[in-house]
Amino acid sequence: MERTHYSIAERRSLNLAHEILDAVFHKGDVNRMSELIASDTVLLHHPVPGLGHDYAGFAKMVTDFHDGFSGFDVIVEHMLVRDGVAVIRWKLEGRHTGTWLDVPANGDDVSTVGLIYCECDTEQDPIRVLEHWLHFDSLGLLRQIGGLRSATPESAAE
Amino acid sequence: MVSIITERNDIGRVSANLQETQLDTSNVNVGSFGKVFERAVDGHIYAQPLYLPGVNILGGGPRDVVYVATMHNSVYAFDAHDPAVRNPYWHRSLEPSCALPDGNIGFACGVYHDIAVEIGIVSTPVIDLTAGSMFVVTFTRIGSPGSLNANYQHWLHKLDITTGADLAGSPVQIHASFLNSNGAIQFDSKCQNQRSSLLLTGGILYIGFASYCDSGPYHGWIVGYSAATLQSAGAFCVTPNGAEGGVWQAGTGLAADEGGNLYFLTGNGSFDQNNSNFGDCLIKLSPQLGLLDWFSPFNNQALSRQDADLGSGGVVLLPNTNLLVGGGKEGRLYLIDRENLGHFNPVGDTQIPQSFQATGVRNMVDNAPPAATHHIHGSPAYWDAADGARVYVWGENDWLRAYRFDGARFPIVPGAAEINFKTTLPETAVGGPALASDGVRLGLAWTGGDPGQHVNFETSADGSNFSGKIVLNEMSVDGPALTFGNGTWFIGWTGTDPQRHVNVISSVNGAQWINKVILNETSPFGPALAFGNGLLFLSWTDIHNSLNVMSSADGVHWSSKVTLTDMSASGPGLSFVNGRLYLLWQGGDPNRSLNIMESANGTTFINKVVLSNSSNFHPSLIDIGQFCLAWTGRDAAQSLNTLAGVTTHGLSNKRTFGDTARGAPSLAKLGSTTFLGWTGNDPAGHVNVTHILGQPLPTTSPMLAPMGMPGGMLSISANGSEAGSGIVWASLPLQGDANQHVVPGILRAFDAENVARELWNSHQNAGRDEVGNFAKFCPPTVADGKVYLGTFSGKLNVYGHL
Repeated sequence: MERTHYSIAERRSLNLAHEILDAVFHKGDVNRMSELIASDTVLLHHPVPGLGHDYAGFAKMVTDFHDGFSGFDVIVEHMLVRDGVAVIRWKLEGRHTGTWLDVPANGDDVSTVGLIYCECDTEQDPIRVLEHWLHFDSLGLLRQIGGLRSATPESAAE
Repeated sequence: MVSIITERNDIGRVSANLQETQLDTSNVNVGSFGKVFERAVDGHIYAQPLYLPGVNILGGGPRDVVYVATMHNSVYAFDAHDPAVRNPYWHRSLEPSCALPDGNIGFACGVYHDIAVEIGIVSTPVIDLTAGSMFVVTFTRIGSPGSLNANYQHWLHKLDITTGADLAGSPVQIHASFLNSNGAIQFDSKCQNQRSSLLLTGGILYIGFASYCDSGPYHGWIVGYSAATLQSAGAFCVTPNGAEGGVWQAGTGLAADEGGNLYFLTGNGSFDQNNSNFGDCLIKLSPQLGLLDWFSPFNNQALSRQDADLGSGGVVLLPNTNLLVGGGKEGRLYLIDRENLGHFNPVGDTQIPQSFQATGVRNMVDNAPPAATHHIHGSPAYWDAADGARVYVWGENDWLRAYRFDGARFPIVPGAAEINFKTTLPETAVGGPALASDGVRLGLAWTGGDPGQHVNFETSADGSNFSGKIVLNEMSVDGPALTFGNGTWFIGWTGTDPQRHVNVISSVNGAQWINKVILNETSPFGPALAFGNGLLFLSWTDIHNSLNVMSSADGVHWSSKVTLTDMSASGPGLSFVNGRLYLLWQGGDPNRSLNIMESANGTTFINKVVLSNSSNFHPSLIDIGQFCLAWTGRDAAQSLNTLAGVTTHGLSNKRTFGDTARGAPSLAKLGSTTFLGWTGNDPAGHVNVTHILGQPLPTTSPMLAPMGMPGGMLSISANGSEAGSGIVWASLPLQGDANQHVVPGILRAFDAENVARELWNSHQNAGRDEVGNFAKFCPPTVADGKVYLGTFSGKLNVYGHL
């Protein structure tokens, strides 16, 4: 490929982050987790509380989300890598088609923004994720589907 | 009349139009040649323009037509010669292009800038003259930029060259799959950049794929389609059980031989022959896309790690030979037998006919190019002139170079050496090391960098892997001497005893060292040894700085010494060449000039040569068909240098290497390979050993390509081999770096018989001839008196006689 400011290791870090975002979160193929993420990787998926920081917790967050917003889209907006950390900022667009966080489907269109963060050990071949975060504005989503009353006083807009 | 129906003129990718009778070296100059018209198009032009004479265009009779494809997924058919016919005869807008930025394209680089504005038709189309059709591959996106739900597609079109209409069965969406160890791997357009130009041969259209800035998961792919039916004709994946290995070649198309076999280079990626992964390789495929053969450079791992794609360039099938030549980012050209590509030799590329550093090295007048990368992009060009054939290459940050080719090899200038396959040993040394050969093994002796400064010896069968290290219980003040003769290794050294006595020891197997002799001679420096005519010769510089020589039949009993009137400020060197003993030293003069003298018997020395070159240490001499002299320079870095010549009086062609040394270097031959050993100038003083090869010396252009990417994109025009007809046309940036930037361009014309002579360039009369923005990787097309040049300024430039 043509020359770039990113090293091969940095590009592979971004590729790995993108693949986790697309294959696991967006497409819902949780079976690929073991291929992309080592079993001892710290998995932090803060948007949904109460889930374990492991394959099972991540898989439940993903499958629950697909149950709630089937066919949702993720739009990659920005990517960068520094010091072995690959970060992707993305936007999510979808429709509330199933129960999510105990809120039954209401058919409303929703959108939110999120980040995926992969700290990678680029000395390994293939490179290895040491710590993985997937974070999006779950409170904002809950608010959009009616699962959370707006905390903003109406008078504040006046 | 000539037809240019495929990128770089033919499927051997020689980049030469040999039917050009209107343009020659006498009439291409700023007074008579320039831009005659330009044609507006709707996007950047990555594809090389194609040319057909006498096309019955739109049923209106024969017209000479130039075809242009753009990144906006448009194809145009313009009149090739008539400035008055401004509008295209036809213009097809195919699928919508993929507008940038797009978070799914090139994301591995963060922000993708390799391609600007949009992605559409990246590769050069190909024309099927028999069927009157043109094949073109478009890229399109259905959905929003960056959307992971977006659908990216490549479409293959088969257009009527007279109307632009899609022919029967066209278009088809490109799909492919390939068996791997997990079942099958699927082609995914989203990750695949269709950059290498199309190849049509044997009724099959071949399409190569790489990536957008290594954004995956991607693989190198070759996909085949029947030209007649557009039905799939197979696929080949470069890394089916790995990743990457793109086929991009900076736009150069796959090459093919008369039998329809395909040749191409791949980029960084998995390399594991046992798992069918071939990143950074030359690959040969059958017409049915079966793997026939492959080659990878010995330094594959380093190339991949450093993103130094072998596949940034393509290959040229050298006409009337069974050879091909190609190279990539490292700037080496590889000359390879098409019937035996050579696979992989981790020790060095000695299994192929020739390889040499073609860019980034000093030129014939010994100027060094800038200390920068010298990647080859695209492919070299070839012309068999009346006075001999040449291969042309213009790497980035380098000169245009024309290398002579004799039909079998690039002739080398002995001693115009390059350091190749360097092995840096874990050993450190005081003074220079010593090399010698017993005909089977290369012996290496050195004074260790350990506190005791012990003398060491080990051997190697290949000059790379050394073993059998013996640490002698002897200590030396300087580098030792080593030679082999009469079935015996001999080591000489100056001891660390207070008087600094000279010592000699011998061994028949290199393991047991016996017959140590402490001579009654002393020296402040290390001695020298050489064996010839049945005698062992020893030389040393005594405490008065006088040079001395004596000889022995067995290394134990020595003749009377001869003390010369010549003096040195360091130890001497000895070499036995063609039956004569050569004494080598640096004079005690302020310049520390290098001196050579020869003798038939070791007692009478004649033919003294005092060179203008200088060193703080003695030089070394060897016979490589000519004499080759190596020494450590007195420049601040203490660079290694060589000279070569038929006689010691005629040494010339000085080459200065990037490697630097402490102490004197040493030369030895094992088989046909010449080895150079030296102690590096790194803080620890590691011992290095390398092959040195003769270096082909090019003629070079007077000017360098501007700093940055990508060097020059080349085309040749000539009337056969006729003298005075050959012109090298080069498109390159006028200034600036075209890597991730759009920069202004320049078109230059050189005398192909002497590229030091520039005939014309578009900047001489910029108001009339300016190029606009440089079309990256797009070579000019020369046909019937015109030069067609794509741009990134929304126009096609047409140059010709005014």
